[in-house]
Amino acid sequence: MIRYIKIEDENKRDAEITFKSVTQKNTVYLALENGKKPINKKVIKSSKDFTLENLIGKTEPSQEEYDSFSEKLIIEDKEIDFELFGKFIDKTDRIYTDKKLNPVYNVELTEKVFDTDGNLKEERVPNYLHSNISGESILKWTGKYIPKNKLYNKVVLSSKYQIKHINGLTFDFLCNISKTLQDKNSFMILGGGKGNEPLIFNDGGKPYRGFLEGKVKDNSYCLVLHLSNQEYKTIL
Amino acid sequence: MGRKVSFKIDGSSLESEIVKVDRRKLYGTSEKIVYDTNKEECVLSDLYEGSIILPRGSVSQLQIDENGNSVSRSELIGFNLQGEKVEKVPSIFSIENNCKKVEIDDFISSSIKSIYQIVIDEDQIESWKKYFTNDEVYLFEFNYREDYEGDDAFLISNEEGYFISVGKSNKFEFLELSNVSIEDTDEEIEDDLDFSMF
Repeated sequence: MIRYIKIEDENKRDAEITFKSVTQKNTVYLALENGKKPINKKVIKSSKDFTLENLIGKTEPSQEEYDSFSEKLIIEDKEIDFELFGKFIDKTDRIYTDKKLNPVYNVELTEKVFDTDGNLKEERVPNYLHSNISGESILKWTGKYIPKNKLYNKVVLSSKYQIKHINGLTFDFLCNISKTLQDKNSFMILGGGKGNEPLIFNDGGKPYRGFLEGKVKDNSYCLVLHLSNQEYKTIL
Repeated sequence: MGRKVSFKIDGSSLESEIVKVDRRKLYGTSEKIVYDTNKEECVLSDLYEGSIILPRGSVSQLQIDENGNSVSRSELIGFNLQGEKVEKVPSIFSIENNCKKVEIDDFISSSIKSIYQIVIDEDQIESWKKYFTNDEVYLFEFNYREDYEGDDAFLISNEEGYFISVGKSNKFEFLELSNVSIEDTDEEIEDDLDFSMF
């Protein structure tokens, strides 16, 4: 499915355009000596009734119980499910189970927040974020320009999306934006929501700061949305 | 003390330890927890064929050859896209890493996946400073461990310190009027990063 977004220019006019993730594919692949690629398979190693806890008969065995069970395990190979062990499988579903590995039908969701030392700060109701780039949302032209040489070493520009036109009118629209940014040799912060919020690409997704970079060459343009969620900061 | 990495910049040799900058160390992290109605924490399991519960860790990935024999990773070798065998790229710890000066635009266009802080000994700080006076960016090939393909790594600096930014360089297409984008795609938006800085 093509994804469209609406984007504003410096005159606060918006247009609907599309975008595509830019990633460099690997240039090397791994294969056998004869050049043939191996086949990836998922295989079953164990199942619910054959976990150590189930074989011992306790949900939380003590170390002594584990130790005394070891001898039995070596002699009897009781941990192997001869029906399923080694079976190739394709797709599985994911379900929540309790400690006894029984399916759970009603769940409550919370979110644990940890500080930079890994200590629990709080437990709260998860904050579900709704996408603010799709539907009627418009990516706002904040007018906040940041010169390239001021930004490149401040935030980690991890992901890139190339913005693309969908017709002649949007070609002109994006060319003009690209030229503005090239002339200023700057990024511009793109805002979600009312204009100052980070961008959320999917419902339930995570927020990113968006930085728009533009270039023009002859009768062509290159407009790239860079995303960041980290700054260049030291930890020692 | 950790292992040191050697760099060659403008003909001079420099060295330092490196430390991975984990986002959790900068901003902390959060984790979603699921409880059942008895307030017991739940775990995610696989359900196979609608009835067989496979606890976490009971499904494994395996590689096999065309005859169904298991293949270990050590048996695999690297080939380029032309089908030619390639040599392994050494680990950054085992060689002097030749750093080439590049433009800021080359760095900006790269997709970055990990950051390392360069931890420089006191007596070497001045030597490093003279190569980073005017927004210099240096590029070298990065492999933490020996492998068949290295990443693109950029040496940069700011007021906080010096960093290695590891990722892949991208080549962007300049679009002309005729390059109207109407192709259909099932592409998923990348969304695997936590974000607590905002």
